[in-house]
Amino acid sequence: MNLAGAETLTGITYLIFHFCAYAFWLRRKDLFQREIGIFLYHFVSATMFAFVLLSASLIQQVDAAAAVALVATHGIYSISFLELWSLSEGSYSIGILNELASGPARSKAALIDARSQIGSTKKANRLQILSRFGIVIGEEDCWRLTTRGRYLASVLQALNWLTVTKQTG
Amino acid sequence: MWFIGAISAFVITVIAHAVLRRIKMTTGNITVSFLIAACLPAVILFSWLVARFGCASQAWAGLLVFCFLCQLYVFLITFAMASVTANCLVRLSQNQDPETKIDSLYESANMVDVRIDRLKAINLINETPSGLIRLTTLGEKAVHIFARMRNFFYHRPIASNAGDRSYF
Repeated sequence: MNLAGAETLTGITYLIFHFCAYAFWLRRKDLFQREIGIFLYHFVSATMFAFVLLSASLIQQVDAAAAVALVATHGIYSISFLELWSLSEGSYSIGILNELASGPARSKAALIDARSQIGSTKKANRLQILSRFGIVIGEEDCWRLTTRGRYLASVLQALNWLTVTKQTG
Repeated sequence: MWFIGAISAFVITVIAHAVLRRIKMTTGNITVSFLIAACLPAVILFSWLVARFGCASQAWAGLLVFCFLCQLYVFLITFAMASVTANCLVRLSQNQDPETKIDSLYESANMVDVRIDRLKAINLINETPSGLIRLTTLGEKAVHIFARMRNFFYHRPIASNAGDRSYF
């Protein structure tokens, strides 16, 4: 298969190196245990990878199809990695599963009671982050969307409409 | 041509998924229903790519672009459905009164309630006849897998990150 050209092997080697650098070294560093650090590690890498490959394909040093295939592979790898990282770090549902695993079976009401406070903390935390990005404005418990926030909310509502997601949580 | 083929297959998959979600008898799991919707377009795309380009780089590029778009879409729809951030934004956009407090728009108890129902729907937990909720075997496996992943990623123990640093 033509994909096994020198550029493809170099690209795949780079992706393996990117993962190994994290697995054997960077994951122990404080920066890479924070969301912003791990996000930038992938975002900067994917952007530069795409820039180098697509530029090389424009000056016909690299086959354009192979370049796009490699960029897509980096995208698949990075999204999978970041999803797993995020899920294992702070997912609310995983928190509920852990609570059940670490104690006896309990009623739904008891579980709701135990987890509600964390839900409130999560909401406050996220709204603070969103306000830092200029997506919401407000104070204490009264928040409203900025223009940017309204645009973002419309996209989310369109996705929910597309997938018929009525009961959001 | 291969790029247009991949984009077209992705658009067809999104439409097929939207139709599947509107048919009541299909699965309620959004990711599984997307995988079902993606099967046929993926097979047709791959067959067409191989027939047209053989094993050349265009065939693999088309397939990988399709896979990447599908993965991005699944990430976005699950984010829109389940993330606390997305739910806060949607609730705020539906609210007309700026004086309304976020807690009355998006109740913490409801957040837990919906997630418990979702975990039940995908068979990670079940409810005994006496009303107690417990992990299923599948749920126990999921907990073990996520515990290993937490160790791999060097995340802090669950108790200490309850306040949560995640955007999602």
